[in-house]
Amino acid sequence: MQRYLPSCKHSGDTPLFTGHTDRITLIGKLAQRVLDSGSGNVIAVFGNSFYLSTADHHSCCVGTPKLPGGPINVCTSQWQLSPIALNTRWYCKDQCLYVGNDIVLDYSDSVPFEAPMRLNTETTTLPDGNILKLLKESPDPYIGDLQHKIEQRLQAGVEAIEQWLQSPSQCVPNAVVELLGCGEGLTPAGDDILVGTMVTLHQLNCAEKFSSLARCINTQADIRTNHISLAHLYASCEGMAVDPLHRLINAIFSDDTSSVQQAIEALNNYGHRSGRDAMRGVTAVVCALLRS
Amino acid sequence: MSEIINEVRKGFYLDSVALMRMSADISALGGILDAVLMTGTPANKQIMKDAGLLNDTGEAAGANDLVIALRADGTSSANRALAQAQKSLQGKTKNTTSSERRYSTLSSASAAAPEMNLALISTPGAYAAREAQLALDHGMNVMIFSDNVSVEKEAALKRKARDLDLLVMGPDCGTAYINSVPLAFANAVAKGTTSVIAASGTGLQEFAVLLTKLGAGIRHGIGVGGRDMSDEVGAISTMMAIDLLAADELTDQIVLISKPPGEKTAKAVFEKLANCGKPAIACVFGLNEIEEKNIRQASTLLAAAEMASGARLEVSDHNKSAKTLTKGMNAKRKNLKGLYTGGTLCTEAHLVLKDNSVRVSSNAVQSDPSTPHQLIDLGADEYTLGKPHPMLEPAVRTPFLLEELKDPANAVIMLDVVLGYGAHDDPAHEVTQAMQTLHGVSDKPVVIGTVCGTNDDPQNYQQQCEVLKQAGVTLCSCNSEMAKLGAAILAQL
Amino acid sequence: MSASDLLTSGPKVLGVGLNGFVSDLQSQNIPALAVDWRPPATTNPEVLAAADRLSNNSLAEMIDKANEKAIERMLSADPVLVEVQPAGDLIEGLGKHQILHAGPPLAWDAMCGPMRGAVCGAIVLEGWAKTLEAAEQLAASGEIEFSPNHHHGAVGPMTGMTTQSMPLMVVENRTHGNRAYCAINEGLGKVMRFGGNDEAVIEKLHWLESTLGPLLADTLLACDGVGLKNIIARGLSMGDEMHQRNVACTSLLLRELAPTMARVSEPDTAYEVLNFIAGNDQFFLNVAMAMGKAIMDPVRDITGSSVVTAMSRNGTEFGIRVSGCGDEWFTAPVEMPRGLYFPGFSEKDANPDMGDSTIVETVGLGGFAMAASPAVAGFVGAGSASDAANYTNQMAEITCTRNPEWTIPALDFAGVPSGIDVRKVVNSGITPTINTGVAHKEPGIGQVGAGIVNAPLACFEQACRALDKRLSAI
Repeated sequence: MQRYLPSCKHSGDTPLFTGHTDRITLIGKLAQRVLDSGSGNVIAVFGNSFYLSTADHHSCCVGTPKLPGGPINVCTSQWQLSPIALNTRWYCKDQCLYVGNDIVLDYSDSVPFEAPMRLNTETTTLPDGNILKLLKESPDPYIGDLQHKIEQRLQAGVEAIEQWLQSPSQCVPNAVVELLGCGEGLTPAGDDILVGTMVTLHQLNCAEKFSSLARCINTQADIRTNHISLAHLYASCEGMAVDPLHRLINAIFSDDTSSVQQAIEALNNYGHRSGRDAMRGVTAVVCALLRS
Repeated sequence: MSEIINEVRKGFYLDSVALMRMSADISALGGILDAVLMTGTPANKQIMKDAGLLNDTGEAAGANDLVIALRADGTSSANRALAQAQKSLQGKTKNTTSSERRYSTLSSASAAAPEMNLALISTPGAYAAREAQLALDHGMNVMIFSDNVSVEKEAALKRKARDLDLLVMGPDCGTAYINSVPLAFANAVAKGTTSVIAASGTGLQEFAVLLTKLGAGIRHGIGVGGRDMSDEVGAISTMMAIDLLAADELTDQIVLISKPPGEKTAKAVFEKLANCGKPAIACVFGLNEIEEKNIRQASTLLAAAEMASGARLEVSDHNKSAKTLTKGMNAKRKNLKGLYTGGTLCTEAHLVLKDNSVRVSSNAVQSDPSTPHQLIDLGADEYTLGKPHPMLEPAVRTPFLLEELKDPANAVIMLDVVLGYGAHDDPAHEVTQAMQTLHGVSDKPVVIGTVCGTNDDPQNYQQQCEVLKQAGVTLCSCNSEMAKLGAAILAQL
Repeated sequence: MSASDLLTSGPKVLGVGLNGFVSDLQSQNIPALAVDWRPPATTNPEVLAAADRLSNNSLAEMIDKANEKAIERMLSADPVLVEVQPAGDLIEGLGKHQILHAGPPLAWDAMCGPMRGAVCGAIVLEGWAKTLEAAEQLAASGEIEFSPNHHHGAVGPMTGMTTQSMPLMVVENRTHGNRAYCAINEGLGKVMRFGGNDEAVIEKLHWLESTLGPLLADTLLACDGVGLKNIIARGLSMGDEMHQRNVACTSLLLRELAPTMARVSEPDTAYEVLNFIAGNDQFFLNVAMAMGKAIMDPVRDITGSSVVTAMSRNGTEFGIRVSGCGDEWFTAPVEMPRGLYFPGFSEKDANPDMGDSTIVETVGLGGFAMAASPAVAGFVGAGSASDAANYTNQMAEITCTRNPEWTIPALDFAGVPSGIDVRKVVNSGITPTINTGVAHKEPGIGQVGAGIVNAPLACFEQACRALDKRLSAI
């Protein structure tokens, strides 16, 4: 949509924007912090979204309405992405996000993204075998030898999570730490697995394991993975992830096979395989629970 | 021995699908044993290291950098793959999704673009006739750049085209101008009212360039291919071309450039040309006299261009230049050598030298082998087998040039440099490289050259000339003038 | 465009070969288009000569006419899903010890692992043997008569087992009055079409026979069938290509069936059946296959036509049939699919390409409609939406026409390329692209991945020569 910015948003020397303007509908908590920091650069541009970063490398993702709600996501009402160059400057002023000379996004009417309430562990039911089967069955294709090597490491990490959760130890095993930054893709698969694990632990009020793993992520992740993935990991340390992941966790523990199925499908559509990898982290917690 | 190459892009993020697809695409290239694009996190670097894909460059990457790592069976395949990776990375950042529609066959392309009226065929010769046939079936005129089409197929194609009122140019038609538009190997020449029927490529190029230098220009230049006027083909395209140009309102005069026609065909061609109703000039190499009185005859391309334009090209005094150039030359130096990239230019030079009483042997024409003077057409089949044509890749000439420059018996070496569309970007460069071997040498041959090009050619004409002059090449205004200078130099010895 | 037009209006150039000449012209703003030319894939001079004869002059005119007729029959088809019946009642002579399979004719000795596994399962299902071991002995003894589905008006996915007791869906072509059959999709996991044959597989098949089949039959009778042309048209606009992705069409079909089904059956049975269909994204594939067969059968045997009427694989060979060559099969060794594998599996586990499902490509869907389904294009490694469009556009180079009723939004509503012309395949070297599932090479393991495969050029070369031979004999 093309429209000019309302004149009240202009203060003297600001040039008139001629490009896209639109409203931001939903802002994640961590994304809000990024915008509040004032200004920075565009660090990545994809088909339906782009990432903003601050000077101290905190980042958030701005996307078309297709982007699900999430702690580091900024969702817009109907804006179509116009070409944005890497390293374009962004800044915020008067509740508007300005990106380069072409894009203005007004967030005065936006609402914050809320992660669902923690589950009441008194009333939750443990998932049955059918649900577990669904969680484990979804296809996860890979190609090539190197991918095989990555897969082996990821699998070792997932198994380590399961064992650790069943043990009394507060010390996070190496194989779990080594998941950080492991894997192809924008957000390495290992990070996605950890995000899934963290959010599930948080939702289930497993406070001790959650804080051990959070401490580990907070101290180790910044040297082990990239800034974009880091933003997702930090969000998970506050118990938050993208909406479809929360939905899946809730569906699993409400013992509703069909909504699990729906949630899996929605998650599969998130990122290339990030959703599926996060699900492996969720599954690891579920398996550990079922065993102990 | 396998080759590992790593490249690191700082702070570069790509979405996962793109990354994986590019890994797969690059792995699929020939000679690539393994390839991956990953962020350089410690965990990933360890994996790449274990897989034998990491070198020091990749090792230095940080968690926010993209590492392109590949292992190939040799340096060349590794570099090729890296280039491919860089190209697709560039493509990805541009954020473009629309792609131009591509057509795999002449039929589908012609169906989608029915306005196309000329198929320019430059496939390997073995396939050219089939594509030409298809083009005719789709109602298109045809220019066959390819060679190695049999004379039987050529005749059959041309007969079919004649029945359909379509024109076939070639096979082996390197140059043409239609409505002053240069096609294939051709220079950016001036528009004009002179039309040409040419059996040769560089002949037409040189003529059109000279015409431009003389202030006139080209309307059409119809290339008919070297065999059109043979008795086997019977000048089908030449005859059609004469009719077409005679009927073309914007054509004032017609120039024919060719080798001598076949015995049976000659009469018909010249008769038709003489009676076409427009002034006609013929430059037929190796034919002494044409009976038709209406046709003006030119012995060189320069003479033809001067006749057509009515202007004269300023030429220097060859004897004077020859004297200056041969001053102090070692008396043992006696021979003339010519290394040509343009076939017709070679033929023309041979005839000019002959007219100036220099006996020369050459692979371009039937000639006397018992002479030390020699002209080589490096574009002839025996030199291009499995190699690019020297007009596409001037480096082909370099080893020959180096040898001739070393030969203590050589007095003068002749070179052509052909510019224009289709030709190499910087053909002068290879010559100047070879010329460096003469640097500081006192006992050396004279090197003379000619540049076939115009100021509007995609290469920089002035710069090419300048570079050659600085390298010690004496430039002549055209090919026949160069041959005359060559003869004058021999006469000085 | 005559020669004098060329001289008066100036050159508009189609470049075939070196692309530099075309870009030189474009840089001078002269209209010029480069053909993405490559040498013909066929090197056999006899094949090239045959293709040339079929592509030129009077013969070409005659073939073009015949193809027009073929296309007219294809496009005028009106396929309707009408009923479900046990195979034995539908197919004449299908009785004891007779098994129909996918692809061109095939003997037991030549069958691949999954095909053998499925045969054994089918024998047990029919009760001709008690155990799989006994079934294998029976199959090897020569007691079992094997025959391709295609010879009996039927098609089947992957191994394509059809035996007397199996319920088959019937698609009637109401324009031409012919009918075609396909078994009911068994769902995911261990299934007979991928060579599965254990108790669970057999049990599922029994359920199809006893519950789903009869209820679907009643429903279809009660609602006077379900027109398929429209479902396909809408499915294409919803991201289905009808081979790898049938989510939209399955949902649309379910929408057609559910109200009537609820009326004609017990609620519990309706729940069971609807739930089964709803949980199986590929349910519609088998319907689309029967539809393909119903559309293509009237195109068979048009003298002179070079249109492909069937493509099919039996796990060993790929076979095609061409209208002008009647029921003759042109076969070549089948190729391995290229694609993505499920975790724990790789190319090493894959069985060569298999199944009658390529009938959907024959009518212009599947790989031919890739542009409609970027999701599938991604899964099979084709990548972006524009890559997907390229697949479809490339198929347009080997087909006679585009189907104006089945259009693809992403291609500005251009129709799916329809009517594969063997001449165009041989002339261009472009072979049909097929979207396919990949079976494990050992029987009973099931699907291990998905990808694309190309029809072998050799089939089309043989067809060209055979057609040339037939036509020069006239």
